[in-house]
Amino acid sequence: MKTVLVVDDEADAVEFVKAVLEDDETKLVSARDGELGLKAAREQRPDLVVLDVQMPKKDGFTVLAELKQDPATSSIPVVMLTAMGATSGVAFSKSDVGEFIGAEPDAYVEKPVDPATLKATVARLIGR
Amino acid sequence: MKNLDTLVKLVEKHPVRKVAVAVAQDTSVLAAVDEARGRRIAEATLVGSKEEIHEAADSAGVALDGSTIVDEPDPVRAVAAAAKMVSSGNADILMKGYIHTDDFLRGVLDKESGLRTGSIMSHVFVAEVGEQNKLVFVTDGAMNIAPDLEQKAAILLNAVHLANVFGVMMPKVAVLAAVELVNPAMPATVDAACLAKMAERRQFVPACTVDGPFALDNAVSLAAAEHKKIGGPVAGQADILVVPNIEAGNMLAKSLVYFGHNRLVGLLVGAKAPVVLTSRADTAESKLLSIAGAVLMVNIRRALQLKIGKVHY
Repeated sequence: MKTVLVVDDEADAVEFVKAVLEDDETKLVSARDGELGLKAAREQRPDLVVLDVQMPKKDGFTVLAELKQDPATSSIPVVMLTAMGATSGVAFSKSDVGEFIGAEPDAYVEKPVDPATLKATVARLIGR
Repeated sequence: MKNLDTLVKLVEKHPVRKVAVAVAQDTSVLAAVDEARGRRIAEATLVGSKEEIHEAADSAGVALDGSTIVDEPDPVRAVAAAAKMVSSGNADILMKGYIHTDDFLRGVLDKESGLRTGSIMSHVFVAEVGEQNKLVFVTDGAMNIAPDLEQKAAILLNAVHLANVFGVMMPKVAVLAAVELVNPAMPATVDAACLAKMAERRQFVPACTVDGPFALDNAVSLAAAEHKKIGGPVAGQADILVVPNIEAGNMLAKSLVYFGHNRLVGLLVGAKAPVVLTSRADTAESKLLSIAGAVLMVNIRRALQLKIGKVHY
């Protein structure tokens, strides 16, 4: 059984990811802001993190930077899902994020997300 | 972000913002604004003496076709008009042109047309330190003359906010003095120790890594820190340098440019909108980079909904 942690402040977004990824071999857990997400990642050591960018308390870029800097969590793959481009016009690519914060996510996807693409991306990153 | 080329590369891809330039009759300001427009980073409204703006544009070799010019020959009124454009939402960024910093800041701080918020405004130099392959934030070397402890705490948080805007999400903050030991005869060392203790007690929100006092060498050089047996997460690796007063900050920043040949951005933080505040003698490149920094500030603050932190007392 693989565990995927979804960090997003929007319940609908969490439900969407759960509907796409949860199955007999994948358990989903969630956190509703960046601080709780970091805590959950450190305590539960999930096999993968699905991370929103625009969140209260701690934004997704900060969470990503902290996850990748901490040896205990640096090897956990991170998929960033964001509506940032649509809501603010400030779109990043995966490598832009790497240059911006010095830590690159394993995948970076702008919302709206195609379910098949998300499922395939996660399957690739957790070795299925 | 480790260098200012990345800054320009990122803002070129993001929405173009509007800059109101106060007292725009300056060759390097006009060259910078022209370059920003050409790179689709920012569009400017030039406020100042129309006649002198045209003269300066001619000597800079800049075509003003399509530029918006607001004719206001009086420099103080030009600052007020440009600040009003920003405070009323008709421009995103205010930029200082050919005017003394103190006259410019009076306009920025003006209660009616200015850009005051409830929090303290402070200046941050963002230096691209090539030798270390990183950005270093120096504050406050241009606005607050002799800040007390409470003001230093606010200045520190403004710099943390700007570091976040530049992608340095967990900055290490060094509070500088002349020596690394607390010495009651040197008040800067006492303030530095207090700020470090305040961070340890989580009085800063967001929590940040702060240590001090440091002499400059053991804040920025691991070898120097090790030689003096100074440990901790900040020693030798500082991202933000909080200086004791305006003289120290100004000299440190300008020495990075004139002795170290590093590139520099100058921005005010804590106003309603980003303010580009560079020296009149700065190059057009430095002014362009500062415009790019202000555009990044607008964009990242909106994209990440970033706000300046608070101090708990």
